[in-house]
Amino acid sequence: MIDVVFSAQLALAAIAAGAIYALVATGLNLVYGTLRLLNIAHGDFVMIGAYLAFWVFTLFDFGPALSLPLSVITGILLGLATYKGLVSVLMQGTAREERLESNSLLAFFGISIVLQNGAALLFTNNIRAYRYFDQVIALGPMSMTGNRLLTLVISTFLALATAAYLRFTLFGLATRAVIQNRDASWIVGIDLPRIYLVSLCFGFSLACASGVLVSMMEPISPIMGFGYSISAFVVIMLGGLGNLFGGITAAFVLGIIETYGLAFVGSNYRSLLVYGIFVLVMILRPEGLFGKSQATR
Amino acid sequence: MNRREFVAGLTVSTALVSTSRGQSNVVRVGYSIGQTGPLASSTPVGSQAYTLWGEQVNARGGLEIAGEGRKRIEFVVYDDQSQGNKAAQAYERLINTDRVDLLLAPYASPMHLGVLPVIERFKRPLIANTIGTTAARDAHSKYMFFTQALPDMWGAEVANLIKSLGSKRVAVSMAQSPFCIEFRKAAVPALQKAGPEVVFNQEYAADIKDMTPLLSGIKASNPDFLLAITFLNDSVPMLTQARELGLKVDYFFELLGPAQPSFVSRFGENANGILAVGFWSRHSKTTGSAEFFDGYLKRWNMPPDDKDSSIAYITCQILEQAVKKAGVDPEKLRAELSSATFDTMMGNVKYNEQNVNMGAPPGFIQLQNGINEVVWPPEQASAKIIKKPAWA
Repeated sequence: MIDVVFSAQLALAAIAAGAIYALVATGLNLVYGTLRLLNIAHGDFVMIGAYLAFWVFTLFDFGPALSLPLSVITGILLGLATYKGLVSVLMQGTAREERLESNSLLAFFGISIVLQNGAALLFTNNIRAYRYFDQVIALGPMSMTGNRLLTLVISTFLALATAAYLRFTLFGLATRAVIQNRDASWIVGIDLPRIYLVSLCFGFSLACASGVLVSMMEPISPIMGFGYSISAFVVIMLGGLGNLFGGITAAFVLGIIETYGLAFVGSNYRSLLVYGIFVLVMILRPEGLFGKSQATR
Repeated sequence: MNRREFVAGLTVSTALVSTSRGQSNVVRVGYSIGQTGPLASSTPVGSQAYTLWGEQVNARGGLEIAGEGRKRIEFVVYDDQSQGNKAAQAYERLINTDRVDLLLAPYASPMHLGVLPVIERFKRPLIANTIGTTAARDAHSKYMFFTQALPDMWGAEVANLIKSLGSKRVAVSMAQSPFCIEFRKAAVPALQKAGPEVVFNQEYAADIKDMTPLLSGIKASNPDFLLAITFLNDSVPMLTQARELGLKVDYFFELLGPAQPSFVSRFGENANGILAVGFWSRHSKTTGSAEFFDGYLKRWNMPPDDKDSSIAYITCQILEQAVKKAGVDPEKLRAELSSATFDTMMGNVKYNEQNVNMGAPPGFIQLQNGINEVVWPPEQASAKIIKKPAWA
């Protein structure tokens, strides 16, 4: 038991798992926090990033050095298109704005179907994969493939960079103000439409960037995104909806629970463990581990 | 128009329709496939094989039908959304509304099981391919014919493979998936009977991403044969993390996954030596092998899945031979399938009284130099089994 707790390999695996959860969930949390949009197509933006990375590698023999910046640009363009074509329409008028969350669920469900089927038509449903930076790198008592280490480093960096942007930049502070209280932010003169647009583009860019990273490790297909959407929602609800710092923390907590938990109870209890803990937290603390409870009037 | 004229006109019309159906130069072949749903990324390997076969047959002048000459194949295809009940609806429509002449199988066990009551009710023979459960055989199906080995047969045969290799310590891991469960249910008792010691035996959720705890346990048990009963997506982290942990075994088996072209794309030379279930290799000298491989590569710009594409094509070969002898009449076709021996890419196919193919023992393949070779049964092998090379 002691050797399990102090296993460096296990610790590294837990952090690696948490890092990718953190990156995927941060994008989703940013979109929900500012716009209150339930983007269940979030995993499909991960899928778009994955295909981008695959084709950049296959056609031009370039790895993430090229596909990561391209994925950010793609995310920005998709965010722009989604904001202009859908979100601004969903937010027209008070009545529509009040129903935004429920309307967004259906709207993004439609977007998810379109993205998956679009990818299937363009690239077929055949599973794709490529081999990049998969040498095993030894770090003392630990070892991991290069692409998993790269994913860990870049995911952690991007998640923390997002947190730093929100804490230390003026625009980030304005974004946090909108997350905290939208009406008050509008009253004090914060440009809400600009915050919404930037947050949407930022969130989608993080999703596409996640896709580039996971494409190095996992099979790529039009339906690969569903699992990431589920994981992202579990993480942001565990951390507290709209609480980006809470979400990042919850992601690493989940990675630790999943990895160490399986070491103690056995890999066959993975689903029971992860979703069991999730349900328990929702029962005991519905606002999430780091969310603030709201008084009911 | 009076009554006599009406009846005369109706009779003539019916005769014309009957004559035109009989004189039609098209034979309609129907199937459903999961173009959407959770299996959407797995099904193209099957439908692409069907499409290839249809195009090749039409290029040769059409499907030869006993008593009717050659007719051009026309497919009627529905999306079953990877759901058994939708597959059942699709096949009812194919049989009763579209009135197709012949049926091809859907993809995967749930869809085969969904279709089973439909084909039994309407008495239409169906040559099954990607079915990984014994449930249909145990239901004493008269009209479904099981071409690839069922999991209990494969599970029992793997013990023979392991024994022949002289392995003494076997670690078993299993994804929680129906095919895998049935495979292990047969494999472990067969292993225990055959002699090797099962030193590790654990299962895991099929969607697991990190296998460090599982593989650490396997490594600690010091096996010489790893029987990883994987189900597609988990085959990737299994191999990745086995490498990270420096797991060394003489033989490394992954049930499903290594037959997919993307597996070699992902792992390169580190995939060499991985064993899997299968019965065909591009190096096989069996009937139609070269035509299938070259045709698939040219048509789809990618190599076929060595298991699922090949079995789909094999069932088309069987159908083609059966129809040549028996025509499209369902009962005559069923009788032909029940009694004849078919010469296919997997060798001889002959169905027993339970409609299970007993033409050859269940087979295994192994990746060697990036290509899956048939290594079992020895009499059908395209290469000898090798030990797992050291990680690159």
